[in-house]
Amino acid sequence: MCSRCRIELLGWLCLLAGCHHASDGVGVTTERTDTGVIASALVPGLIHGASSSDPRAAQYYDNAQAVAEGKRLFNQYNCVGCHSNGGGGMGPALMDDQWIYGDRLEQIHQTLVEGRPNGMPSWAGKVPDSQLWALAAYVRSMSLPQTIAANTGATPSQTPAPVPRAVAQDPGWSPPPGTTNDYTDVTKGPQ
Amino acid sequence: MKPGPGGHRGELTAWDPVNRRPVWVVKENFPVWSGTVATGGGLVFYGSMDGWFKAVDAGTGKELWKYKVDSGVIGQPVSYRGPDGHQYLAVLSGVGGWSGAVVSGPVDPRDGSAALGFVNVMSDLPKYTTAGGTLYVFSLPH
Repeated sequence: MCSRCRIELLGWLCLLAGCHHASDGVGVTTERTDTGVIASALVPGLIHGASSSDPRAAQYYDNAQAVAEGKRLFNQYNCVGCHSNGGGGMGPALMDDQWIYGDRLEQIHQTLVEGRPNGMPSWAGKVPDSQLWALAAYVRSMSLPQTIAANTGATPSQTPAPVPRAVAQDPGWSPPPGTTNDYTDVTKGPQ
Repeated sequence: MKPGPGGHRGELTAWDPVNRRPVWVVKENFPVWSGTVATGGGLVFYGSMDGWFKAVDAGTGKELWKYKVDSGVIGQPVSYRGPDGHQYLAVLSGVGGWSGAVVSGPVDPRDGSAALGFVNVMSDLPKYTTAGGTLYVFSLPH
């Protein structure tokens, strides 16, 4: 057996055995290179059915950069294809004050991660997590009076209002103990 | 999305397919989203999105009869012979679809681009009709 064949065989054995040592010299890369992409909305042993709180949400309140980034992504990922510019269409309106799955950023984030019935896809494994948070911030900003006022001019504003922390004061419904939407364990790459 | 030339948003057109030209045109304020049904007696029935079910003369387009139903019509009227041997016309009222989404869809009218832009062009429809869902059956004179 030639040495090259042996190296390839080693690589295949490595794969079959579930070996994760991607850089041990056999030249086989098994790790995904996506950064910060949640691999799955489903985590064995954890209840993800209801959002509680997530410390990462804090940094996206009062954050003008996050909502501006979210607005850019909202267009680039074609969220407008179903939600229009917040007025809805195939998907529900986002600029009104009805929140089927909650209006706190961690709840919106969870909706983006998991998807929802009747058409909302799960973006887990497709969109980097930091972008999902920025999108959640922009979605929450859409119904703020300041954002709507800025959009009623001749041309829509490119600077949506940041989400004030005060809008998240309503604790809302309390989920069961042990509930989390912290997907850190299944997130690949840097957070 | 905006109304076309003339400001009205719909037309019912009878075509002469041999000479390839319209024979008559009925202008409608809103898009004619219903189908039409033509009867052997020389009538054409259709419905409008502001909730009128109409009969026009098949030869001239002249309006002969109309009836206000409880919601805009986007359905297909049908004509049939009933078990009693008489001719009937059935039509569903109940506005909807992209053009009726501003009335019956989950859209916010403040965003003109909502419902693929139909919210902008149909923004006055809520003044004319509400959402509904009623089957109407009419009998023709006999």
